[in-house]
Amino acid sequence: MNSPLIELAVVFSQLGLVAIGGVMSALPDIQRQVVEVHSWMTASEFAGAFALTQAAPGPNVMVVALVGWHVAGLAGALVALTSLIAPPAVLAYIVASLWRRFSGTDWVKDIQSSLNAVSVGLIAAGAALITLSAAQSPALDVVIIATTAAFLGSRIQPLWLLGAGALLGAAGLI
Amino acid sequence: MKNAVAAPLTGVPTPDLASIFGGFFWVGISGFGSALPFAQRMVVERKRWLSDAEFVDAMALSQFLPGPNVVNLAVTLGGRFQGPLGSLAGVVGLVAAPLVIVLVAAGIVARFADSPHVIGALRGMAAVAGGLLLSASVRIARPLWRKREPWPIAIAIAAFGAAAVFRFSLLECLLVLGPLGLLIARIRRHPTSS
Repeated sequence: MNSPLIELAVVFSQLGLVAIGGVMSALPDIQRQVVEVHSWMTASEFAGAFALTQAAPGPNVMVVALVGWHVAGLAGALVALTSLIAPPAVLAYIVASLWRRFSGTDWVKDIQSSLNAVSVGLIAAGAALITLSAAQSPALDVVIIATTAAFLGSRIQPLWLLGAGALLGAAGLI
Repeated sequence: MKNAVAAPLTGVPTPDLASIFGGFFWVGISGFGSALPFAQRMVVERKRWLSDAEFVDAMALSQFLPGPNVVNLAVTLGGRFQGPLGSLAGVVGLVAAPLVIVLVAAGIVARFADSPHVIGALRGMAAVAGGLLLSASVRIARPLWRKREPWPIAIAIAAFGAAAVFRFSLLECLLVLGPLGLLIARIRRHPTSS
């Protein structure tokens, strides 16, 4: 169990199968495993890696590839990503053929609304954890509050504000 | 599994592996943040693989199942048209380009990891990503308030506290709060029979 690749595979294959509501609901648990349980990254390194995936195209699951890359290079990235994706993908393939029989029934609707409520709380928890580790100075607090308001009040492309944040940070202004 | 193979809308040929790969490749490189709006555009408007209603149903399944939602969509649609190889083509198409891009970006960042400018840039981006996540959380939570039912809000708050404050694992949160929410939903649906 000492190989980092095996550890990555064990951690992320379990996370994938419980990530109901998608990767964003699993964010608190991914952060807990990566930062607290395995100490693969610090909380601010994880927040930085997450920010990088938001500035790049592609699904949010790429944050897991970055964790793997940080731990064990290219092989780590591939193992982490594949471990997270493959088990739920196999499940999805099997369930897809049964779905037509259950879609829209009362039971499925009730399970969906219950899981949706749990997801909402988990997604907010992930947001809180990432935000707390990003809030390292009063100036950064202002950036967080201002960008939250901007994203809520307009349809601005995230990339523009991420770029502006990167420029301000690189110039040492925040 | 030939029974999983189905036709798209009338008049549209069943997509082959290359078409599935290409369609999801486009979704992968287009989707910043959430890829789902781009998946809808590709599947319904550009390729006409599904009608709007069929897409909503496929999406409901992808969100119902564990794992990344848009990956699940690639699995179910790829599988519907071309079986297991179709699923593989969809998933590989979806993640290949974003994986290369994000690893190259991380490699560049790591190379200049000691530069105060790069450290500052990442710090600034992380703050904006925090704002992005907070605003997304508010957007996702809004429909719960509109329903005017108290129990989903209570379950959401409990999940928030369990995950963010008490650091329970995802599995623990789901195993306790999922059935609890389901129980309340069943009772609300049939108040007399309970």
